[in-house]
Amino acid sequence: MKKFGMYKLVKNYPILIGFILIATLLGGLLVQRCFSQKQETQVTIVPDDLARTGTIEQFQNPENLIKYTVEALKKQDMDLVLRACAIDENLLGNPFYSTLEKEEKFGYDMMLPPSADYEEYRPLSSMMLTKYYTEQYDKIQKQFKELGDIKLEKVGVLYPEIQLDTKIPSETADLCSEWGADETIQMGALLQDDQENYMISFTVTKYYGYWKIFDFTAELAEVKAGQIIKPISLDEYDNTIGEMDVLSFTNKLNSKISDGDVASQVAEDIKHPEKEILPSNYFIIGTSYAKEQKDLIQKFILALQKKNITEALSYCNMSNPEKKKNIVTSEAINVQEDYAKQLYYFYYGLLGEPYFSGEKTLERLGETAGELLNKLNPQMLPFMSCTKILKVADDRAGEKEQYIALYRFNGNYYKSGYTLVKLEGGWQIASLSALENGLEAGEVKEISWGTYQRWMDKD
Amino acid sequence: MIQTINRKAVKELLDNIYLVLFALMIGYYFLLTTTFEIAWPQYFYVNLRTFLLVIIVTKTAIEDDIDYTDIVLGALAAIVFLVAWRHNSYEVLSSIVLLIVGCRGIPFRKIAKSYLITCGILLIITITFALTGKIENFVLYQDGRRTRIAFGIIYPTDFSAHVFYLILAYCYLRKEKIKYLELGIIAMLGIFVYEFCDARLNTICIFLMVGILGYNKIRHDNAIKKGRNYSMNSVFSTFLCLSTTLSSIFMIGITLLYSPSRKGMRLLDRLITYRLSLGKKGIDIYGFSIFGQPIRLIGNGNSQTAPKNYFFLDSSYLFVPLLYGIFVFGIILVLFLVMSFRARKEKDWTLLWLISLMSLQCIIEHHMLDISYNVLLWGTLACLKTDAQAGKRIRFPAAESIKSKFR
Repeated sequence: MKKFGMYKLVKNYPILIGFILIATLLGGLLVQRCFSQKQETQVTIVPDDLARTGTIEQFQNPENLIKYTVEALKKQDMDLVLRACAIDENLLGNPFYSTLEKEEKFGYDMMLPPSADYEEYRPLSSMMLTKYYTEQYDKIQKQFKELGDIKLEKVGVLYPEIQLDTKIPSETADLCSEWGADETIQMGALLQDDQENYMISFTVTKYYGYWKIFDFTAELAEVKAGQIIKPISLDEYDNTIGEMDVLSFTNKLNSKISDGDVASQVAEDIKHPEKEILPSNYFIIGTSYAKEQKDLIQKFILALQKKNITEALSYCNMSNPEKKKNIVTSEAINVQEDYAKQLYYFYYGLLGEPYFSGEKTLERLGETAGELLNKLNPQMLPFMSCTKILKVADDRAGEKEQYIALYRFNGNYYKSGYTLVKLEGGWQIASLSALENGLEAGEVKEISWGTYQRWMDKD
Repeated sequence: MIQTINRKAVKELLDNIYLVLFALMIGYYFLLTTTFEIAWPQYFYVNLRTFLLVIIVTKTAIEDDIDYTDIVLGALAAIVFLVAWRHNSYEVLSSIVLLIVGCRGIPFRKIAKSYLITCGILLIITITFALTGKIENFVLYQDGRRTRIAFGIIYPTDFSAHVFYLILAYCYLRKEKIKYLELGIIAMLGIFVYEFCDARLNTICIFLMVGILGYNKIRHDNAIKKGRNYSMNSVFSTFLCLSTTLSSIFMIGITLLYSPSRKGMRLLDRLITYRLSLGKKGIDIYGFSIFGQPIRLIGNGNSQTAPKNYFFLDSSYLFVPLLYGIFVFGIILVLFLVMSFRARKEKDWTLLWLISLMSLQCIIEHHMLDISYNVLLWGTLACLKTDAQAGKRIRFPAAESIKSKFR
């Protein structure tokens, strides 16, 4: 009887069929949308130390920043040290264009990719800067191991009169300014163990009222190459630092820069800066797999087209992070930096700047700084077509396979390589290379129409 | 003598004012599809929309007999379109919903006539100017295709789409009274469009229109000879009413299922000029969203040479949900569904066939929500009554009394 009622209803009001179909269609589209959002992989992981929430926003007094950093170094807490470093600030201030103009040359490895100009490069620059600061941290820790139980005695400004004298040119101040810093101070911290005194120097930079570590060394500290901590006597340190305290120095510096228009800074009300936690400013790439090899490459490329760099990199084999999930390690950061490098090589190649080692003058490249910067704009990458993926080699013993992918982009044709590895969870990218076909890691080669067609005709 | 204001007369006056503004808006959007370089007055577009809004509000306020379905549909369309506009920044949505709501209650014949006259005249002027060299006339030479001429429109296929929709408007006005000679001329236009624009789909649709309207005419004439009115089979007419919905399900379904590894899919994709692969790419990269998103589309229009990177969503059933959002898409489907069933109720078989043809054409073309193309968009809330009342002239009592004095 109910069925008969429904039939009568539909017969009398056939428009209901239409509404049901439309509702089904819209429901289907919403389900498809939810499904594809859920498919999005775990693009980043958060180890326990990185998961710590910040207790303050930033340090407004560079002395507190140094105290925080030294304490973190003592505790061998790499995560806390990285949080003090100017990673975000440098990737946004990256003077790619002005460096090209000044140096009049370009090289793939000469500088960070243009992250200040194009947001697609920001995760890559972030990973490279994280690696840079991690290397500095590792160097300091090597030296720390040779010392006894360290205590932080004093923090001061190196040669304050020199730094306040605007007539004396400062390479450091110029460099930091190029990187977008509002102010720069070179500072030294006096460390004491049972036997000796040491000084560790820092270059700290100011952005929008807060301070970050630009580098773990200072021009005025005159340390030997490769040495970050130098032995120093108390008298030498006192002579280097002078009598002006850090707060007075920063007020005088502010006053000089703004011609006396700025009010004096009041001491930051943080009793124990060494116990604070800064907010996190870097990330660790997660792990994603694909069931099939070609599917993996297509997902990787699709992630790039969606401008989701971290998702793309999650398909790369970042070996080891699974073993030490609870802390951030130098190894994990080094591995992800390597993939970041391969990826920006990939971008450059696809955008029509073929790979070369070393550096070439802009004149030899036949481009101005502006033209080169424009060329490296990845905004059109979503329109790139990956037209074919071909297996070219496999190594059954190592469960690795090599593939070539062909692309059509900007009216040209390209090929690049992928070495894939099979793991427990599925397939991942071991490197963006196909050495059997002469494609180095990250390399993208432009090919002629004829070569492209020959590849397309292959099975 | 002070005459009482006749509400109906005022409504008719407002409708006519609306139609003038409607024609201006359609004309403005039409000219945007041409190669005319016009420096529009600074606030022309904004003022036009303001006047439209005022007229619509006044029309609604003065009316004392509004169909509840119209109120619900109109309000729903307005909310969804305007919210979507704020999300996705496609300002055209606000104009579209203004025109849809503004056409409510106006006989669709008047709207179609207004559209036909406005766009017809503008198209003739555009063609003339293009052929005499006064404006750019794009001529495209593409591999594997004949020479394609755009006749002053930004792209040859867009020119053929204008021709298609103008013919559609004309056929609606003529209905079953259309003569075989007129159908012959329409067929010639189809050949013209194929020869000079190489617009295969629109040519097919024009020929289909000729065939369908010819068949429709024959059925009507035969019925009249037998002394009765022609009535389409109810199941078949229901099927035609669902044509827009079914077309959208088909196109979206086949695009989602598209895979380059399947030979059949690749063949079909090549046949419809890669609309499946491009649609799939759009879905994969951008995904469906509730209220739409800005998506950069790079087509072949407005240039003599093909772009380095081509990405265009040619199918309306992908263009609308991806750019304007799922909700806007849903509303449009509902509006066309209701319009189709109203046409069925009025036994306006010609209109029903034309809606189905439009639904078919929208599988491959993106003009479903294009202001200066799809004339049927303005019929969604318009009056579709086919009886004499719909076209009856309203007499002004004051004018009548003056006339009688001078007789």
